[in-house]
Amino acid sequence: VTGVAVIGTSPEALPDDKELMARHAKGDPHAFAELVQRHRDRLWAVALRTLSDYEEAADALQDALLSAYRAASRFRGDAAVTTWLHRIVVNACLDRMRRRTLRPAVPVDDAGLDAVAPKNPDPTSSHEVSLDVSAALRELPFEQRAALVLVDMMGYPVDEAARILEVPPGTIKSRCARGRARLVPHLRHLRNRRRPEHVEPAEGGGGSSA
Amino acid sequence: VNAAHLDYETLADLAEGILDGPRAASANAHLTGCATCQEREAELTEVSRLLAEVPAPTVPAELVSRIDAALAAAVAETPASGGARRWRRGHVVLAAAAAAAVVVVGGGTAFLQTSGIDRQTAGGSAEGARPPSGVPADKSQQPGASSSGLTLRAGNVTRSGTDYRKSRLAAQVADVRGRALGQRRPGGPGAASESAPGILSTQLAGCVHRIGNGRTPLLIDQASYEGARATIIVFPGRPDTFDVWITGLRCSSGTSDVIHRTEVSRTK
Repeated sequence: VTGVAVIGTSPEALPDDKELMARHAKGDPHAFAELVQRHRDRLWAVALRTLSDYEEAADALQDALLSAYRAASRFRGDAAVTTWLHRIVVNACLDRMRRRTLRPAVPVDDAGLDAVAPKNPDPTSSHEVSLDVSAALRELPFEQRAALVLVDMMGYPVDEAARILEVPPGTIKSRCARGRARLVPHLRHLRNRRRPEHVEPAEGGGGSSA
Repeated sequence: VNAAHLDYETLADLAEGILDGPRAASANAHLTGCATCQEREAELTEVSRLLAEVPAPTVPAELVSRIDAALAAAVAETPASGGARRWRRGHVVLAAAAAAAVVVVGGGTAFLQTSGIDRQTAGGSAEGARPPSGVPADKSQQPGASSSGLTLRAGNVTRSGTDYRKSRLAAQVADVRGRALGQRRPGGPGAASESAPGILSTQLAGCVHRIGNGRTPLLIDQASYEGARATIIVFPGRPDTFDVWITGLRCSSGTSDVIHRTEVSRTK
């Protein structure tokens, strides 16, 4: 009478993150590696965008995953594993930032730029946008940058960003707002440049569409 | 209506809904009638849109390997009580705590010299992933510390230290198996507490199951083959042979990583 109420748990079902953490704590040598493999792309995106520097971001991600590995047995289930991992990555980035202020800014070389702004099928547009966004983000204080990376770039809800950064949601909103306001002059040229592409009529308007 | 234009911060706060009531009302009143501020508002929206448009990077392969290696090195430093000690790619070298997923085979390998195990462990894999120099990784675990003994069931895991050679395989298999059998005789005084148990990790168990198709192995020896680290797994063959599989370190339930397979005669 209850219909199809029971959905069998298939033995092949992938363990969720918390299950992997539990297995890791018990000594399963593959659990943490699986966890890393699952989330490393997003964690890498956070690190790279927050630091805008390939080497720094690589070091930060490595530091973060090592910390996470060592701290995993103390992980408590009251946060999502992804939230916890993101928090560790952001903190590792902050550490890197603090160290970086001790040395002059390093110009990003070509390899670094390619990493910051991955190659894509539309090199004239998105690639340049990526580079310009990356450069513009560097103008922001770390806290605003981290908030914008999580909310605007990664698309995480404000509440999730708040949990990751361990501040109230209102603080995230405020940091995002301040950050966007500061970015306007740095990104204005992209808007001006892009506009004609969008406005241009599909039918021949006569004009100078040579 | 306030005639002064709204600055970007105010507009951004307004959009986020974090202006207080009076200021929000005043800003909204101005915005409705001001093209300049509407344009600014659009610029702010465009900022968020541009940020969202940036394509997501994926971790470069070289960074993946670098992180794998760093994690492997961290694993090598892990104190014995903290879990399991492994080398690169998560291969368990010596189990420590009584992890439920790990079957410890005790008592069968007393002929192994402690120093031999240390050498094996410290040498790491042939792939060059080693604990950082200067870190005495092997001091963190006393051999045999883990022999608190779980199950002696799923076959024998040995660390004979043998470097198996293709040309001498039959004799070497017979020799190691003979020694393992000799040591496994029940009632050997204190054998369990003196031996450094080999362990059957979930990975190795998966590997054995995969290549053996469910058969029970006669011998599992984590040793080397032609100078490179390998696991030698021996099943019963025909009445007078052993079915010998030599697998690399990646062998698991998902991948075979077979280096060599052969049948050798049971020499006696």
